[in-house]
Amino acid sequence: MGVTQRLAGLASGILIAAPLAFASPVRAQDQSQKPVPEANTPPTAPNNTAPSTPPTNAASPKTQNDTEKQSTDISSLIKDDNQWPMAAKNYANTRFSHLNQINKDNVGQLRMAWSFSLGTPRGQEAAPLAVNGTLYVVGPYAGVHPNQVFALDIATGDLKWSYAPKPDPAAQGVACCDVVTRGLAYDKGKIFLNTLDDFSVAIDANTGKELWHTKLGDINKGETITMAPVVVKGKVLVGCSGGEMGVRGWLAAVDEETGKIVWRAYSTGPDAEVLIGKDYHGPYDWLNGKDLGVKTWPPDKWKIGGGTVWGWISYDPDLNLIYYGTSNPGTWNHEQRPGDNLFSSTIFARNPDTGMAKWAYQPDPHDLWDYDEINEAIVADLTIDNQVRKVLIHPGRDGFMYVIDRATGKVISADAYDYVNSIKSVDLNTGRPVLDEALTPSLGKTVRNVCPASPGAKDWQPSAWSPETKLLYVPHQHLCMNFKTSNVGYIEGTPYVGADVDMFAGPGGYRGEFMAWDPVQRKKVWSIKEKYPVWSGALVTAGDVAFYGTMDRWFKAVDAKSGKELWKFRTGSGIIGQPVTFSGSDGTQYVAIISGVGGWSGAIAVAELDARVRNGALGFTGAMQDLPAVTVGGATLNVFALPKNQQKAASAE
Amino acid sequence: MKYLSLLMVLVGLASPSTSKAEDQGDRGSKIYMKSRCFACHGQLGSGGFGPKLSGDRILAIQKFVIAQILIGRGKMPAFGDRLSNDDIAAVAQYVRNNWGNNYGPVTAGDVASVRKLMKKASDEAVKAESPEKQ
Amino acid sequence: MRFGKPTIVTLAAGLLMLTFSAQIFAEDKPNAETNNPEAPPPTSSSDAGMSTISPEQLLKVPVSGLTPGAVDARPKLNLPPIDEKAAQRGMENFASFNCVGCHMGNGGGGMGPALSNHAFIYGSSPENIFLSIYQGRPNGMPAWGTVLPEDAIWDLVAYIKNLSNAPVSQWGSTVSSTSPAIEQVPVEIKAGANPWQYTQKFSKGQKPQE
Repeated sequence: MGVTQRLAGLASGILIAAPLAFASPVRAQDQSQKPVPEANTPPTAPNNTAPSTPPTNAASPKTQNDTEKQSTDISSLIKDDNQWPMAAKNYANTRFSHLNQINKDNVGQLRMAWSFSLGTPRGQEAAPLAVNGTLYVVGPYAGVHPNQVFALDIATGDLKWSYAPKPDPAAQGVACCDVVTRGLAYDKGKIFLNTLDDFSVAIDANTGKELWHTKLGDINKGETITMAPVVVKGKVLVGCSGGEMGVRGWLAAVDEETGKIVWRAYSTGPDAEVLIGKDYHGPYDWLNGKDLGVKTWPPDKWKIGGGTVWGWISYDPDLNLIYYGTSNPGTWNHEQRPGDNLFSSTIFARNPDTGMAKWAYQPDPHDLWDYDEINEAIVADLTIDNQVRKVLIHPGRDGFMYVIDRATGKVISADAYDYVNSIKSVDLNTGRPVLDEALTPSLGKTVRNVCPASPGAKDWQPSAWSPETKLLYVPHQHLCMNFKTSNVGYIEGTPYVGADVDMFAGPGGYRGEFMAWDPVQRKKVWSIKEKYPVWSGALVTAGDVAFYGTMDRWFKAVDAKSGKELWKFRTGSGIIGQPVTFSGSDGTQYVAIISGVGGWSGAIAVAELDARVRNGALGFTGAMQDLPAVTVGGATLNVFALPKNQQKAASAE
Repeated sequence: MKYLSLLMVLVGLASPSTSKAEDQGDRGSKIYMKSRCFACHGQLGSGGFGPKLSGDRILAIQKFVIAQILIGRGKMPAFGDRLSNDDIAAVAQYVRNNWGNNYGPVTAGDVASVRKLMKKASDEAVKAESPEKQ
Repeated sequence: MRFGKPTIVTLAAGLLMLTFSAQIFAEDKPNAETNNPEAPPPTSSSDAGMSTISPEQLLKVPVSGLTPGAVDARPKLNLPPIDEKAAQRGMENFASFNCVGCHMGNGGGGMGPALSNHAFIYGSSPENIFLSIYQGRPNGMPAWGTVLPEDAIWDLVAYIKNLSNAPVSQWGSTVSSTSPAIEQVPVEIKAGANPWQYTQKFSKGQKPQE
């Protein structure tokens, strides 16, 4: 065939193909009709003799019988310490386990049992889930298969299945602080996944087959999802991220069987959409009134006001209330949004059946510094002044440890747990912070040495509460900043920040701390200073051991009572994940953590940033510019256990 | 003050203002997006590359708003040859009555009369500047 | 003419131009809802002398470093001036269109990649940078050609060329306890369209010495 003929053929091919090309987008428009991807079921190793390994063929009767014997209901699983069925371990968000095969006397013998590469180079903030002998892990938006889910046999480390969703790569452009996910949820044989591009997905926990998927948000509005969902009474609770994108924050409840949205509670706007009704009672006068989510903003600014929901949800079944916090208001330039900006930087209590609010408390009215209050609110009963009080313990982003009456939202105590100069104290009569007015930013003026910096004294990284030591184990950072505001226009799907920030180490030159805090005595009991922010979660066990990871690649075990270092392990990449513990079907207690640096703090080591330009990563580059000299990205699930002889010795005691 | 000289031209313009209440909000917001007004003035009129519209009292002067959209100025492009009188009325009304603004309606008739008056001013300017071309 | 005070003269001149160019005042225009409602991206009415490059020419700009047969495929384009004036305007655009929210002050990178170094995965030539802004890129860069006039994008290109003008001491880059040795003076201390003019000792996460 001559060149001319070939070109003619090509041309006619294009002409024929053109109508088809135009036709195909019509089908692609309906995103809810995504084809169901096949689960990747790996072949079973032929010589695998481990008796506990269920067959990979989920249709086999043996697996079904096993499943019937074992509880799959989240409300039972959270009471069984062999399991770690939700990111925060239980509804109270204690991250405490009664398992004590590994304890302070033998933890020094801890060895790696097995490891697994997630194949992703970005920040690993997710908690592994352990349910009935299987470990479920999820990766961030990175690698060949973003937000991929893996199911692994706990005893052997065998891969049972993996599931790869198809998130839109453009979602990376609207995720403020690395493309992380904080984990999965489990209930009744289903794994629940959120993708960065706002899908909620249910997967059969045995087979890896997709059961349903629902689009909850829109990346073109700047919405993404990074939080770990929580299942309460058959509803998957999911909120959106995007406080730096002019998103109007919400929490949605999705029916776990059908994927249908049952309710959605916005954080700003009229009462009808914030789900505030007659059952609502604000703990203080200023938190009562009609449509405060509108009236505490300049006209229409509530529509782009932030208050996103990307942290932790706790639940008290007795009061039938869920608790969660909302993000900073948008923009970071406070002069563009006079008013209290309700209900940003707020802790909500809601009825999980209806979503209706019971109370709301705003620790940081009219936030000046990006103090999201999405940090965990741990459900605990404390004896304070000889009275048993039902409280929430909330280590605030603003550097204050709030102890709050969880029935009413009233603050019982609030004490600084790190160096804070932006807030002098919290007025317990009004619940409002007393600010250092001299630091209030004004347009174009550089405010220097504000502490804590924008990530707060503590960000998302969850603390652990031991009901035995009655101490809270808090991983946190120790940073200050310079801050300069600018006017910013709102363009949907683009950032809505309005500030140049430059962070650096706080007084003393260290940047992180792992501490034990007594919420009744209202004081620090011990602390360990770390070079970098402690951006990992915490775990504490009845073996009197507390675990955490560092960004310079150490996984550490310390004595829960004294803080004395008992063991450490050098991981492949820095740790910003959540340590968990559970038992396999072999009766072994395991401790697991996913290493893989990243996140807002670690973006400098994994994303294309420049350590020499301090204002990068919303100013976090300034505080982390030497991190690339100690670690790069790369995700590994690390699973640890005692050697067999040590296990027997521990069990005999 | 920066609008002063343009105002001086417009002060001479007078036309009966119709107060016919018409719900153009939806159409106005669509044009605000489709014609890319949002890119410079912000999606909630908060400003950016262009001036802030929310709370700008200059918007009280209806003829100013119409003329600005018609001919543009500085970095603002002219929309007089891209949008119909109905569209300009809708978008002018939209920016004058949202984001805390409350400056009353704009009709296609209002736009037509400003077009007419500005053409007259323009014709006179042409005559004055280049008599030899006549 | 960037939001400058208009004078009677410039206004009259504007009106004069309009009588010749467009029939703005002549009659009502067809309903935009039915007739191309999407206005073309606004173009500057003030800055004359911007060269126009046709879409056909831009289509010929390669993004890949591979060209079959090793032919020199890069078209010779008559680019608009990429100078300090353009960079100053570009700096304004960088803030106004929220580029700064992703690429951050002085282009240090955040949601979007750093612009302050020599790494541009879609090409570092002015026309490559123009196209990255104009078309967007799949991993999160919005397509700004739908919104911005072309001259505003060329101004951004000029500013980005300044941002990326980092001092170079070697071909690759070394990270160690002693490298890098310098950092920029941060934007809240020193703002300007040429940030690499002001550097200081690398602070390693500590408060910079002033």
